[in-house]
Amino acid sequence: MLGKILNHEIRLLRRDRTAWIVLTLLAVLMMYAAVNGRQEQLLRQDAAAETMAAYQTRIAEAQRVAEALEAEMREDSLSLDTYDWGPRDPYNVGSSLGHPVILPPLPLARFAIGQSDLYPSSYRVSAASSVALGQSDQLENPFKLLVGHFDLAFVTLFLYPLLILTLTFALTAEEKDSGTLRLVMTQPVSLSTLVWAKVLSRSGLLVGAALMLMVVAFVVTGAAFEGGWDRFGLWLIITLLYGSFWFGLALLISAFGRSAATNAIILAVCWLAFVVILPSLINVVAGTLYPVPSRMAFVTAMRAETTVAEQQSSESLAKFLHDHPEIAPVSDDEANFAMLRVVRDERIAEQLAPVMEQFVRQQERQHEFVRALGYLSPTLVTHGMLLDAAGTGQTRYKIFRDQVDAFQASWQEHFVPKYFASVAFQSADYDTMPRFEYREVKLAELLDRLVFPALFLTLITAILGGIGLRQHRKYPVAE
Amino acid sequence: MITRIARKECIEMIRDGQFRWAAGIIFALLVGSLIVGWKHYADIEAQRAESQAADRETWIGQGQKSQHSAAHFGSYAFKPASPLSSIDRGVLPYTGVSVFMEAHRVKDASYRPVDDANAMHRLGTITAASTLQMLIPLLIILLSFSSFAGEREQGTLRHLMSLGLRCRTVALGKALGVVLPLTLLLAPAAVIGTIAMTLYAGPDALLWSWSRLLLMIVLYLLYFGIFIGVALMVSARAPSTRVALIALLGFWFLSSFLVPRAATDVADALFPTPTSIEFERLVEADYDQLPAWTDRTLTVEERLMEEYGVATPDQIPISVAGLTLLDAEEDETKIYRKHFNALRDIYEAQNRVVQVGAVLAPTVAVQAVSMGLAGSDYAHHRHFVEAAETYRYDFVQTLNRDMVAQDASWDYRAGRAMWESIPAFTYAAPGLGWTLGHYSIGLGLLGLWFIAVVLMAPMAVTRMKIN
Repeated sequence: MLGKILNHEIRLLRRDRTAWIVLTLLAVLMMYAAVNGRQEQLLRQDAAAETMAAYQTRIAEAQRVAEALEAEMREDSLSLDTYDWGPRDPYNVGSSLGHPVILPPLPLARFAIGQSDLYPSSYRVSAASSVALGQSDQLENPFKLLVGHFDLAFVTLFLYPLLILTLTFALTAEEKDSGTLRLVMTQPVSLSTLVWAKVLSRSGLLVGAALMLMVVAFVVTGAAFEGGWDRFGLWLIITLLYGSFWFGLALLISAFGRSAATNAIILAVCWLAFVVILPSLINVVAGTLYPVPSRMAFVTAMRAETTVAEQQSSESLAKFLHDHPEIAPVSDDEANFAMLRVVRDERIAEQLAPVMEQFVRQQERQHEFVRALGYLSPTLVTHGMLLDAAGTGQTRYKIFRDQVDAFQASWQEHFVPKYFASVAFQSADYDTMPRFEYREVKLAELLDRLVFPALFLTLITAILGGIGLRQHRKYPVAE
Repeated sequence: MITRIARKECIEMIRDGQFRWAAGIIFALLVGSLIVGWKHYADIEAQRAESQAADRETWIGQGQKSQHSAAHFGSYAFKPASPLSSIDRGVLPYTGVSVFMEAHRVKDASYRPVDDANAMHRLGTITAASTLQMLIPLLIILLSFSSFAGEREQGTLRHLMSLGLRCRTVALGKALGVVLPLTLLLAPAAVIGTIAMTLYAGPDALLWSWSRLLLMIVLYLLYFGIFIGVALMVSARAPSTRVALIALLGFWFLSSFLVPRAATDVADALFPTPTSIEFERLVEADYDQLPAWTDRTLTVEERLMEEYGVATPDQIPISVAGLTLLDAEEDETKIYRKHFNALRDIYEAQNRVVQVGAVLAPTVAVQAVSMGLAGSDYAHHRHFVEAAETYRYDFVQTLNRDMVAQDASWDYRAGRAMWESIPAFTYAAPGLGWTLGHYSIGLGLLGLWFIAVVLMAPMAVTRMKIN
């Protein structure tokens, strides 16, 4: 029976002008968003490649000059252990040249630009100081950052539910108002079968179209040829779950037997609350309850510490050498520039640690609060999942930062002893410098993070749909 | 008669539970965001004043050092927030809060608040401005989508039009019927906002804000007027209330979400932002054209030897280092200013293109003008950064001139008296005329929208179907 009614509903939908308008809108906006997102992502990808290429040229040049210098020195039978400022000075290589670290964008980044326009995906690591917080590696008009991007994540989060609602606000209400529902109910069909057929046909049409359009976008934007099908599969599942939630909600609202117009207004208010008001409200509350300490105070504190550290650097050097007996200096020259720098930076880092810690703690509290309250809005849950799957959310950037911090420590370990021992940096040493490569997290870890929110969304949908179906038993077929 | 129609509409709405709920929630959001906004502003202002004073202390107490070391020691300019940024935060979260000012380098502002914000920040924050720009129009739509279409469906429109009233009268009455409940909602919020401003803002800031606040109120009234007019027109011409509602909600979604995003994309395509690598490369290319430090010193020495008629550089009776630094700073500053100006001109050109988007959606223009009046737009940010740059150049050159005046070498040590003689950094935000100049396109288009709506709404009522 369900099959027959489903068939009938599909026929009706095919004749419905609204359905066609909705599908066209979805297709046009999704394709525009996909092309737009690809453009943005290519820009970032090129910039990353260019940074890397520029660094490699610089390093190759430095190594070439070092080789030439060494050849000259050998000719003059000078010891290769001596060096001047230049490509053979370990401080110059370790601190001035440094090493760029890059977070490669994932193919799916073109679907969700997310935080990638904000967080740096490249840093210059040097032995001198840790990576500065808040530095940005890209230029962008602040107004554009404010407005946000027209990408597939935007269309999915904002527009897709709205289109679902235009097809579902009158599930049974219209048939009730026009009286055909009474007629249908005289047939050997249960109301729940009818409602099932209506929901399945509409969700099949809209969610199916959205998923198919995404597959097209995945192929057209070239992402499909760069791999990442596993993450794309997750993206599709999230889209399916998010769509199901809105169908579940529409089913519940329609079950109370109000008029189509009232249903429409209630659903529009739900959309407004979940998509627009709740996210901004949670954001404001989080910022007010757990304000991150001001950057201005941080800047002033950092400066004061730097001044003190510089004034006391020889005193600190003695203390530093006491703490690090393993790197006793060969040269007696206490004013050695490289040493003083390292000591100064260590001291600043030490002094600022409590301020930094307060910063990070407060930020984490805010994140936790937002993550917990985020469950109030399915849009927020979905937003987090989509960005995580696309690799443009906070998580991947945090993992990247952690890897960069670890790399910086190993970079320091490699170079600082050389500064203190005044060991020349030989041209051959260029080949054995530590190198950074981002280690992508395993899919299992991503799945681990996504399981709970996905289950939550499924559960909410099941509850809404379940209550909706139950409530339909009391549905006033006729006034 | 206008008042009677208005009164009837008004009573109907106020008695309607849906309106009471919606208005109550929006009022709470509006007042809540105003209070949060004012608290935020007061916090930021206190922190800024404190940091600026602390930085001055550090500068004065930097100890004995050469003038050039002091120029490298530098100082910070912290960006003040305008009191009206409590209503509209504009691009403030996305622009840096401090500029480091030192010799040889011109820097952009750093430390954007958004870098420290949580991931949800990008989905928007509720401010008084976002409530006024997005939620009030939605309320207007809910209040007026059925004003004609609903009466037509109930059959009362025939009665109303049979009274022989002029169409303009009916349109005006219906419009007033929306205005009155809105006034009940907005007037208390405006009063609360004004009182908060008087309490929190200092006398100077208050003086600066008054005219801007008044214009902001006019701006939003104009904007609501446009939405009321559009809603009435659509209600008069739509075949049913359902179509009227869907069309109006579509217009709202287009204005609030689609057009602003699409307009920034178009602006970006017309005036592409360079990547930071491109930008650095351009600066470096010009920088490489500058003479090397040793060559520069030699040129200055030669010039001075000729000027003073001496045979060797040692005999020059004036600081070669100081004069070389003066020359170098001038050249370097020129290069940086040229490239930063070009980049900032691109941003401003993009922002002008976005204003053109107001042809499709008045919200785009209101968004731009509102943050301009609040002093939280990109143009004000640029004004601040450029003021910091002027200060930087002046103080670095004052130090270099002092080197010349003291006939100082690199070993000379200046002290506290010198550091104190350099005035502290102060900043005065630009005036109203300057601001409005940046938004001529947006203001013009808003004006056109308003005139068009005023002229066309009665026409739509004249031509509407009665049955």
